[in-house]
Amino acid sequence: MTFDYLKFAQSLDSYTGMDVKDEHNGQNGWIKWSHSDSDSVYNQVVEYTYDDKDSGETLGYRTWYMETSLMKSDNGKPTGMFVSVKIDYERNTGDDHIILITGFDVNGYLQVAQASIQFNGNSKDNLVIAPIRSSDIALSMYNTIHDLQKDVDYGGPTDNAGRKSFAYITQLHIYAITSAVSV
Amino acid sequence: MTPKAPTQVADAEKPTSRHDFSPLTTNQMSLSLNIGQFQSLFPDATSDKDGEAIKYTVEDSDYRIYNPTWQSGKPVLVVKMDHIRGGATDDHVELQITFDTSNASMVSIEGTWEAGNDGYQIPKVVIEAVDASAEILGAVGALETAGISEAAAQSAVAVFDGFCKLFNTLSTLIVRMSDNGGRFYFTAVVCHTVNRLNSCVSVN
Repeated sequence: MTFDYLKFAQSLDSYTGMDVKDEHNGQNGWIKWSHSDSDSVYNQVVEYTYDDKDSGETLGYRTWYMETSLMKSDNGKPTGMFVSVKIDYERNTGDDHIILITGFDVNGYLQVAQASIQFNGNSKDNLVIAPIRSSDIALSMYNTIHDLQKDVDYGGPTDNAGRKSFAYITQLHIYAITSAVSV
Repeated sequence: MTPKAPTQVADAEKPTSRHDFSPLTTNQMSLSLNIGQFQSLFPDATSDKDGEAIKYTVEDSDYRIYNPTWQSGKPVLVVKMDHIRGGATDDHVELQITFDTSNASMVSIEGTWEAGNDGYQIPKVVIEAVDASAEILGAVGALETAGISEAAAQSAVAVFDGFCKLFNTLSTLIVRMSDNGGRFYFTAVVCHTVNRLNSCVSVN
């Protein structure tokens, strides 16, 4: 069971409004995190913008190199895999964070997704999305986050656009991660 | 700036032979933990604390995972973890994970979490009776169709359920704390550790 990081970046770039930096012209989208000199493969990020047509805002995000762990193997075959990822919404006064967990079965099929969301300076608004195991996990994740945020005022047009795009951004990550998993 | 080429996950765990952990014997059944294999599952890990722990980096944070130990006479593994905070007291987590001695499946998880500096402790986490019959993973039947033994299938469902419950429980408590991304992601590190530990426990 494998996770293809290149395929992830390509997939994320393919959705409406999304533009992954350095993903074009032969680049693969993964760049070294500029605030650290570490050569660790985990010190890499995908940076991208999302053009939100509703608000007219262009919003900046960053996704960190995913961590994966295989489930116990039997007859040399892993029985599943977890993939976790942290997503940052880039803000001048401190980033917001999304942690997305996805779980895959022995055949590499998505079985569960869950998330927690931390808004910088607004801890009362933080969110935890319990495990989703529906037939359309990505869409259910979108609907769950959207419903929780729709009546929240984050105080300004950019934050309202950026933070309320978390539903879409998280949904796309589930699609992109799923596309990168294979058996 | 020349980033390393992204890599793929290894096809399967590859046990190392740093050293073997003494097996626990419970009645006539016994469980063992391959600690070398466990350590090898943390990406780019380095030895720490004079060999009593490994340290690894995820994103812009460092984490320390201590060598798990068996509780005396019980099929319970204790594992301590730190979120390393430069110039400040580390965040500490300690888990006790109970296993079924008949098939090495995870049965329950208990744990504590203490935040560095202010010493804030979340209420003790108890994930009782991991639901080995949970309707996930395409059901146990699908695992068996894929050539997975019944015991391994039960173990897979149990750890899948335990991972999800643990993340949900920890997140609900931790998300209200500071805006520190490394502390926040520690929730995922703890859950991956449980999964990696589970994959290295077997019936002798």
